[in-house]
Amino acid sequence: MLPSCEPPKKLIVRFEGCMDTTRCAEMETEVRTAVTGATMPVVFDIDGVDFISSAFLRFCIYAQQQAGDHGFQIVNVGPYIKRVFKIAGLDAMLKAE
Amino acid sequence: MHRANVGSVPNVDQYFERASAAAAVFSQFTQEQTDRVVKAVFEAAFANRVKLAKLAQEETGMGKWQDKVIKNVVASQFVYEDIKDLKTVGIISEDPVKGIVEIAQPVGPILAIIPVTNPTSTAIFKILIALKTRNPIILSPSRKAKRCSNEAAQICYRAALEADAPEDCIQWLSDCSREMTQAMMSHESLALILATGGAGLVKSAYSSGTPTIGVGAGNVPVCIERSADIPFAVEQIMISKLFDYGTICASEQAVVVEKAVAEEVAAEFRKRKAHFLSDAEAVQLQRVAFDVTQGAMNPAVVGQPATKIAAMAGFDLPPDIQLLLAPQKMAGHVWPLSSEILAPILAWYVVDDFQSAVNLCIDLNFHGGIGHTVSIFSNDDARIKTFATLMNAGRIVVNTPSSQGAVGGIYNMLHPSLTLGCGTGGKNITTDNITASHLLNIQRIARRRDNQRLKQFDLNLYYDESLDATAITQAFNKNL
Repeated sequence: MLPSCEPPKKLIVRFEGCMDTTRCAEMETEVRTAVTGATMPVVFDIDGVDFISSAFLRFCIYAQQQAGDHGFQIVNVGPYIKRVFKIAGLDAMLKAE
Repeated sequence: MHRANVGSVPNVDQYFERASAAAAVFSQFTQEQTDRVVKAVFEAAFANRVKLAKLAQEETGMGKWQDKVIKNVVASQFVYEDIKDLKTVGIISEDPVKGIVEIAQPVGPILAIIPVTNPTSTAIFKILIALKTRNPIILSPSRKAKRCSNEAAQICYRAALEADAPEDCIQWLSDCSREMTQAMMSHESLALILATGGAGLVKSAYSSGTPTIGVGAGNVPVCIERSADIPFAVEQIMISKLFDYGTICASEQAVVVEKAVAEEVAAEFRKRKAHFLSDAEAVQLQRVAFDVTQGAMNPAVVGQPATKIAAMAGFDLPPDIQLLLAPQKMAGHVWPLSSEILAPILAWYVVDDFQSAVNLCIDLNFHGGIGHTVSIFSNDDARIKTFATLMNAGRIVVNTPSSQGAVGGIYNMLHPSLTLGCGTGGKNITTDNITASHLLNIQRIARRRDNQRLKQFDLNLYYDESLDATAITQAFNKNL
């Protein structure tokens, strides 16, 4: 996971692989630090993510709260993960493509 | 249990007095007596399939009488063949090893809500499965289809009586008011509601306090995957969507194709007299086909031919046009034509690849059609399984016209049914195609068969907090 700024001024956070509870716990500080008090749109790029835990959903909710009016989106969502967001009722976070 | 006071509505008690008497008499019937009644009713309904179809089309102004004949055939012949050998009386199974004996009992008087879109076929279907299970049935038809539904009920009832069925085993409401239906649904003598109809009516049935088998709304996406036989796929979709001018809730609502095959698919549709709408035409169509304030299809277009709908929308088409395809970009409330519309209208989507197609089908599936039916044309088994796993649908039909495929019995071995369960996603208790087996109370005689492992197990170990599940399981399974 590497937070980076790319034009036009978005905070893009990339994830890959299995975002299970253990992995999310390892990344928690890094993710929270990256998105806390965001002053620009926050984007989670989850290309290649094949599993998400409840902890990852909490990341998303936290990032959305922090991004506030700047906006929050999740991009590059595969069907398996898309279904998870649908069931969780969080699919509004997914980028409209 | 609290029940609504129905005393203010006349006749309600009389319906249930008669139904209760019929249930009592029916409870004494043997399997042979029951089957004789069911056979007689099937034959009578089948003999009147054309008359009832024409009556339904005339009264409702929806669909084609020829297709309604086929619906009546499915509801009579196909349903009969599916249930005729089913054991529904007395002991229906015995397992001497497990010591379990199953006994089938009727559930009691059933109230059958009959929709305007299938007013005679659903009546025949529900009557057959009710009689097969020795349950009296009371039909509550749509106000817009009262005459034909009640004619179907009368035909079935006369045949049932001639086969020595109990008096009043079939009744029908002459008063189809909302108040009457509500009073019937909450009557204390009612055992079960078979609620096939709109969302409001199904919810009302669930709210009545009476056990209900309901249905959910559909919004069926069909994915044409690149390995599909394209001409075959388009032909089958046309057969399905044009059947009875689209009145079946399992009919396709949106076509999702991969870019690689989109041109070929479009050409096949055009060859079969489908018209792709311009952006302006799509906006015009949207206004007449969908009621934005209600968030639902406009009943005026339900079961109407494509050219008539186009004329209603304000544009003319060649008279041989059969189907309207509306190019759309996304699914959801801001795209009204991505919603369920029971008419020869399909939303049309072209996407980059299979993954995008599945994503869009998830959106369509969740946009008003959870638990119902989805469809895929593909010859790639892995992709078919991926698609099926990711959809929330009771029926995933493959290389099949979804209208006829979901109903069962014609293109697959699903139970032929005019009541399609949609699971909890559709606010139903089951995803099954509802049939006679759902209308039984199964009693189980459970003979003593001691658990031998428990007999040799030291029960005091349960009280030892130092033992975890693994330790207990080891002790439980230890051979002495």
